Amino acid sequence: MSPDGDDQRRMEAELLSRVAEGDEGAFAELYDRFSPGLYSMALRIVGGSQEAEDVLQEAFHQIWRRATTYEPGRSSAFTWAVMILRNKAIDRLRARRRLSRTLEKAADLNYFSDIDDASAALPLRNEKEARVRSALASIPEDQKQAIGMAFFGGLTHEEIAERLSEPLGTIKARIRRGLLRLRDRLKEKA
Amino acid sequence: MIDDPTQDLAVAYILEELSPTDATRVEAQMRTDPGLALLVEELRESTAALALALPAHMPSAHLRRKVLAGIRSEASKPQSARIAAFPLWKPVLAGLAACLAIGLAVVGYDDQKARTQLSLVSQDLFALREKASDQRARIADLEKRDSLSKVRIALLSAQVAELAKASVVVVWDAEKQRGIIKLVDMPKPAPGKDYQLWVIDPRYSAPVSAGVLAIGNAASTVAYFKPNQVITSANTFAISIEKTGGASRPEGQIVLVSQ
Repeated sequence: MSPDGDDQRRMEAELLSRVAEGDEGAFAELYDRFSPGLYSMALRIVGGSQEAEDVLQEAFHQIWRRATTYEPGRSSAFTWAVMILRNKAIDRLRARRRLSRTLEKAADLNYFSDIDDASAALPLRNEKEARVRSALASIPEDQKQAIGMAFFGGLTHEEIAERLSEPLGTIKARIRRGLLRLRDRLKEKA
Repeated sequence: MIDDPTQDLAVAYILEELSPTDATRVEAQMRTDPGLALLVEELRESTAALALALPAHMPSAHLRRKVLAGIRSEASKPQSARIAAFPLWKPVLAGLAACLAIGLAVVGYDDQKARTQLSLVSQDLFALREKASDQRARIADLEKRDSLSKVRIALLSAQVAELAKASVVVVWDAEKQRGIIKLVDMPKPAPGKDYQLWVIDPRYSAPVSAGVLAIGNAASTVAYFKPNQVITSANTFAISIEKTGGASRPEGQIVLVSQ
């Protein structure tokens, strides 16, 4: 990771440790830093702006309540927050799927299509975003699709295999290889 | 060099696809295998970074005020490390609304209002999915929120390994001051012990008892409950193991807690 990345990680971890002590100012600062990224992700997963805001609110509520459980050695504060948000959003998505099987059939299988089509035109919030998009662009389409369905779609490996009519082993390998490649590209560019 | 099956396990772990038992096993393995721990950390960081690849959208300014007001209204610090130190196992239950649907359908819950609310949720989700963001959908959404605000649905997460396979959902009707609980794959308590349900309401200094839960031989148990005090805000539901017949305050181990 770059020195800038290290600094950012350290600063965000410190913010979170202040949140754990009940510092509302630190919580507000953390909200301002994380909410655009987390909201964009919530929107990608649940689809509607109102529901995405509900998810974001629930996630920040949990960040506040669970800040004491954050372990800086295990992940960055942003990653920790992303996983909390994903958990909330996927729970809703799965509940929705059970409510309406029809929605499932209509679900978009390519969660990165807009990034693929127009990534050059998308506004960037910072240099790290550019690195992530560039790393993402280096991943083969079939691997990217499987990662998107697992990470944003909340589908299990078995469900993805069923949807794509592929053997389970193939799907596991696609996700594994795609994530390893993403990790390697991000390391190279750091 | 980490082999492919172990890498698959690491991927499944970060995507939270593993059962609580398997996740615990991976965590134990990580403690003795620094290579695996590093792989998990790197994969988790890379995966989370995908959030940054998405087109940027900003939540409304109103939401910021709402979130900050929400934590102030709690009038408390974040949960202490002691409480948080319980394993935060991911619930294995179905989603909230699905549980409500199943719970209501299976036990024939006679609350017509709840059925109407469920129907509204379903219809509204359709509208949102189809991107019909017109005023009618907006109003329906607001109506849904208003009616749903009287019903709280909570999934309870196991705090002990013995109950890792248990699935428990609570549907609480604040207006009627009663609730229904469905427990699946709950082992019977030890002789001389009972499971007891508690409601945590900030209005009271101690959890409010909602009664003892009788677990039969069937895989699934459904029970109605009514707390012994008026509940203003059902923040958390918890189940503890108490002596037979229950206790006036929790004395035994808390084995399940709502998120």
